[in-house]
Amino acid sequence: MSHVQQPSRVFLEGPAGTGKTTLAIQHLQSLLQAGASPDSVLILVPQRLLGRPYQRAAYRHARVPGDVTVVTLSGIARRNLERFWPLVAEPAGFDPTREPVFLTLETAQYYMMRFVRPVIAEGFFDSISLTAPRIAAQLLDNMAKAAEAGFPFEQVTDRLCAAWGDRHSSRLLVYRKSEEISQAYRAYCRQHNLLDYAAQLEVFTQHLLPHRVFRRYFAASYQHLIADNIEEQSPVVHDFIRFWWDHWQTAWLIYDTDGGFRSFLGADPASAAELRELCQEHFCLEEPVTMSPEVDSLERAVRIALGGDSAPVEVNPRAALEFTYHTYYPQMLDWIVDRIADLVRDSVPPREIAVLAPFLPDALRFSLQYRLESRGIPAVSHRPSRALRDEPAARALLTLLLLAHPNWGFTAPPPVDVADMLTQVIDGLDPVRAQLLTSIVYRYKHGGALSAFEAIQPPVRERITYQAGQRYETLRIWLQTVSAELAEQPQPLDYFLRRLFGEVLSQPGFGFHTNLDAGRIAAQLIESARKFRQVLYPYDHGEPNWASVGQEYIQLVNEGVLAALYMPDQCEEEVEAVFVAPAYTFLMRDRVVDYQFWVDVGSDSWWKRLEQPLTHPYVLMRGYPAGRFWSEEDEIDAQRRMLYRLMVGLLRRCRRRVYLGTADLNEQGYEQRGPMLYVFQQILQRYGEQEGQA
Amino acid sequence: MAGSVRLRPEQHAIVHGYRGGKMGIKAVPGSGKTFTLSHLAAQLVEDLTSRGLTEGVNRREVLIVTFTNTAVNHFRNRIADILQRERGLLPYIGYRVRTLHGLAHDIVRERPGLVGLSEDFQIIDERVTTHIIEEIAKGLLTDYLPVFRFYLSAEIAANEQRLRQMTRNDLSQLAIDLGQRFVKQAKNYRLEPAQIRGMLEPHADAFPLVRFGLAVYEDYQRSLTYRGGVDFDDLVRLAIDALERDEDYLARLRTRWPYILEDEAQDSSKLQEDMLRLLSGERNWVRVGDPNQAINTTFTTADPQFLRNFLNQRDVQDMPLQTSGRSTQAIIDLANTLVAWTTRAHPVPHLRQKAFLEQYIQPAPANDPAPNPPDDDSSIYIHYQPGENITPEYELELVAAHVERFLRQGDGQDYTVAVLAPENSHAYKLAELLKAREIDYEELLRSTSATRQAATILYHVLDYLGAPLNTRTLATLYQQVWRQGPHALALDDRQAGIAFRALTGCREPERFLWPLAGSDWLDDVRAIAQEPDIRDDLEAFRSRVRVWLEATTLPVDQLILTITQACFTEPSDIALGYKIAVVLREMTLSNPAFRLPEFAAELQQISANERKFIGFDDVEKGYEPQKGKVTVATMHAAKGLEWDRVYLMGVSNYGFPSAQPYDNYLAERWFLRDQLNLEAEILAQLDALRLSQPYREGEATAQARLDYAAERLRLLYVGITRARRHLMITWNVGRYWNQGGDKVNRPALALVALKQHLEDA
Repeated sequence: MSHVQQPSRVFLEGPAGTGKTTLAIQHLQSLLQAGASPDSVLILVPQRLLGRPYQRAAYRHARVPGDVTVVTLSGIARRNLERFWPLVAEPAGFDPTREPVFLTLETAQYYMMRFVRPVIAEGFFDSISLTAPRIAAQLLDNMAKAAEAGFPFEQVTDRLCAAWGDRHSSRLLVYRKSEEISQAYRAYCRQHNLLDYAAQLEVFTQHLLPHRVFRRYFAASYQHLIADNIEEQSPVVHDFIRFWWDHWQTAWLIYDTDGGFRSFLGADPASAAELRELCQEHFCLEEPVTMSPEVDSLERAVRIALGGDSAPVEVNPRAALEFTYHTYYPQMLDWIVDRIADLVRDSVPPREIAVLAPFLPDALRFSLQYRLESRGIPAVSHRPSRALRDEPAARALLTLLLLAHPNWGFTAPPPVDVADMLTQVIDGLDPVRAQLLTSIVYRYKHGGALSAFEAIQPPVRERITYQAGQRYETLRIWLQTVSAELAEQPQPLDYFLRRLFGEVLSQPGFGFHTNLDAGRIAAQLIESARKFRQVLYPYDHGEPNWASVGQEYIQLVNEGVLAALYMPDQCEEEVEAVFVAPAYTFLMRDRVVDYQFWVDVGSDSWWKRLEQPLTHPYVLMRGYPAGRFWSEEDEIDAQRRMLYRLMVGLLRRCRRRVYLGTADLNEQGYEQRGPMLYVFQQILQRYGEQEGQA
Repeated sequence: MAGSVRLRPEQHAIVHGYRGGKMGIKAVPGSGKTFTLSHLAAQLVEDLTSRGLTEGVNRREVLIVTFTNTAVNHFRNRIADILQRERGLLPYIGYRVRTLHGLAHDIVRERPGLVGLSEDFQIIDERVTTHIIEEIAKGLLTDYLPVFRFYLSAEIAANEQRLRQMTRNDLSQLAIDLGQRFVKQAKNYRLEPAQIRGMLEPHADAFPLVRFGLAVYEDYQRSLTYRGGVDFDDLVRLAIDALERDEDYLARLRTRWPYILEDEAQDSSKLQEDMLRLLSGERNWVRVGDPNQAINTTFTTADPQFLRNFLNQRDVQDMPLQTSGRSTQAIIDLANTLVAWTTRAHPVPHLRQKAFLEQYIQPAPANDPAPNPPDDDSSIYIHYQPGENITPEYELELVAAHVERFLRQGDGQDYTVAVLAPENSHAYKLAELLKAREIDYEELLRSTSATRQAATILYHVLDYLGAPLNTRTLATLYQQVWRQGPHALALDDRQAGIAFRALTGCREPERFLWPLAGSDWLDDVRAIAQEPDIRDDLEAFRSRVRVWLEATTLPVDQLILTITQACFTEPSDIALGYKIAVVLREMTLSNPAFRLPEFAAELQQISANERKFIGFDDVEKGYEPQKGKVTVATMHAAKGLEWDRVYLMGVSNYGFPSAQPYDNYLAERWFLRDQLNLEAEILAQLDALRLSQPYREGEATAQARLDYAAERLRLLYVGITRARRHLMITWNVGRYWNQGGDKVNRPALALVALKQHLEDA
């Protein structure tokens, strides 16, 4: 299709695997080949990763230099609030004379916790078993949901209370108290020009979007819109699309009819579907281009089992399934890895295999990777994030941070931590020699001082090796010098970490010189410390108390609030490796593989929503009638729809076969009989024998 | 296909007669209650299946609730087998077997938000909760010292120095025990700390023990909340909260579980009974149990009275299982004699009424599918002569020698044998003696030995990794872990000994583990250099230890998983390693300062049996006594099992008191005045407060003696009914026999009565 022939307003819908994105990319290619500038194209996606195919296509086909803009709505909001801050600050209740401070999830949590903790201490949350960081996270989540749905956050409490109804408990009081906390937090943020995610969205949509200066700027920038996966977007994004509707030269909206996987994060497929009426052209793609007849048949059987509409099952779906019962969880993992090894031996490329679980706790990820690696099978796992304190490199840096700041009031790090740190940072020092060195030079009970290598008896020095000793001395003298400097002239902790990394650890002879992964973690730690410091002391006024910033930072790390983000070096789908991921992450990758392994099919987690006592994903949706009770029937219906979406979504992304891992007892020893297991048993009962062969 | 197995008439009446409603089954020992209940479950599953109700997300299930994980596994396998072999149905569809706590977990897990939990809530392990209460109770002791002082004997209360010493040890332990009892009971009553605080308000200085208990409870709950978790006792309480809060949820679960079959109902607590009553809606509820085997009342909130009350309800169909083919007629007579003597001739009226339900075991009739063993191979021996004093050591020797003689003579190897003691400690000592006599035995004590063995292996690894310069622990690691593991090379004992000694003597472990070029310690040791096999094995060991040492920077769960992969091959051991990994990981969340030495200490406690840890080995295998092998167990642990020959030890008035003035009770601590049982008193104070009743000091102590004596009579009954053919009963004068007076144990009154019965017979 040429640019001229392209319809200008298209609503493209269909289930996964029918070629919607491929078609939209063709449209983009046509636009570019017809001479449209890449800079004029806005690709609006729920996650930036989903824009990659468009970026690649633009790179290959653009005639005019430039880049398409792949962006999320919050990205647009933040970028433009920075740019146009003086225009909106005052009407939104902020101080236009000072820069806005954008809070990350972590720093927002830090501030919210300041308001949560005293309320916990007063006993208001005694009927809720949640840690302070979790309470803070849920209150922030409520504010974010209100902003995404486009209602004032004060409405959250009324909605939650109505949904709870007259069930007996102190929950209503808890909801009301939560609102008081949120109000106080919000007032504090206004006073200090702090903008969390919810505030960014609100200020953007209510104040900046209608502003004529911004409108002129934005209209001059973009003429074409491609919005993919609109079913995974929140109503405020749909409002944004509507707001600009008459402006676009071309606008393509792409909608996955079985999607809505991010409902917990505010996605609203119903609101997305309403955009259909804006478009002149409406294409519906239905024929799957990816699944084998057996998998297609299995998908139909699942639809029928879960009470959905489907064409009749014609091919026996049994051939698309393989499974066996196991008693123990690790036995199931062994079985999965055995089957993967069989596939790889039969020349299946590892990247055509995905191992999917409802959640991917570290122990599971580690066990799978360990087993796969010991068979020589490459694996790449997606982990959304994990606590910084669990990263060995981060722990080593924090140990050094504490050693350099004895005046911060923490007890000195235990000798085990010091030995670990030395093993990591001194190249060539093994754990036994590190322990030997620590046992001699480290005075744990005397404030954590380190003594000189030279002071060690020569025969023991020889045992440790002079090379390691020299490196230790470099580190020790650096620490001593910097520590003395810091005692006189305190500095922010990120300055210290940056110097430590730059002047010592990244140098030849030190562990981070060659260990790129450790270097990445170090960079993240420095960045996280910098952001934390900037949020606490955004302006150059007064004399900041760096010791207290350092103390609070370390406390947050110890509480597990600060996370190390996982940033893949390259696209996971391009790596020749088995992909291990939580099922929802896989679904949001829009990726199709030949073989899927579903870990622990009996687990309840496959169909359970993330149930959190202080928030509610459905009740806080725009379309949910405010004031309506949320019944047991609603709950079951929502869970069934979710299981349906999940199973159909996964099968639509599988070409050849699904392997079901089942274990009678989960990793804690509890017996499992989740609904997904029953769905498969029903299918097997109908179409084939009950148990597959291990 | 039904009916290929022969049922006794009373079993048949239950399996084929029950179609709905409430039913109570009093089952005497050996009457086939698991067998009957499994067949009844299969029958009901078949009914549901034939109506098409067991498929898909809306399926119906028969819910079977029992007491232990082992029993869950027994039931599940048995029902699966009946469904598949006898009825041609799918083995795992249409029913669900759960422990009561497992069921409560299911209920809470399905709607955690209803009870203020997030979906990934943690059940905090018993080890952690015990530790929390210990810390809290010890911390509060100073503030509450006046309360404790009030209950001390005059002599101790007046002696400041003694008091200070006691605060550190005995009083601390008392405070911990009181705190634990109080928290458990408050949860059993579904009382939250704020409610108790409210009740206390009008009573200025009354109920001092409750005030202490409440302080522990408040801190404890806050501590759980801080960790975002709940304990095991919370599970049932929260499950009931959820069911009461949302009637639609309750209705849905009632639809899902149209039939509830409850096993071991005599061990139910009020709370557990409430949960099942709610779930069943008083419709189709079958409760099976034997009030005469209720032996878990002292340390729990269980009470057989609940079952007795149920059985007395007018709308409950009474279907007793009274026939037992387990034991010889002589042993049945002895068990029945214990019931008859207690209910008719016991000197204490309360025990006559409360200890037993007067029901007697009937032997199986002729042509029974499971007949009693013949009387010509039956023997009962009670080692008791008036005036004879038997020391504990002598009793142990006597039993060990007797067991040895029996097993080594004639057809002894064809019999299953058990020695049952009232307490763990006595059983351990016997196990040591059997070991010394090289008698094949296995323990069935608090945690099973396979669990402890796996924990021991992990302990040895962590113990070394926490202090890698220690070559003694390195050598132990080699000997206890590596040599026993799947990757060791074949060496004979002599060679392994050489390697072990060499490692013990290694002065510079870094030269073994990470040798520099040309400086490998292995080259220095001549004995190793001469034997390439030893060297190969040590090199393989070295590579493994290096992997582990390098893994010590990983979070503890990943480290344990790494070790587990290398050390274990048995699926149950690997599963245990996985579970330990998850549990230790949880510990780090609440104890960020924990490092390898602390984790090693935790594992050591599990391995030394000081901490209860539910492993997986018993889940998989259940427990089948083996011929020619002696089982050493407590009488409690023996419940539900049977052996050809059984020894019951320690049947004295210490373990089996009769509420006589000369009896001693463990719960009455020596340093308290008036022989008070403060654990009973704190609960009595809570009851008085809760029910607005008067509290009179000492009454609860007296009642606790009676309850304890009643339970111990039932324990003796359980012990006797474990024997199929041969039964030996012994007693001893106790540890303090040389101190004279009431410190010297006497034979239990019941023992004397049973001896009399034998002589009369």
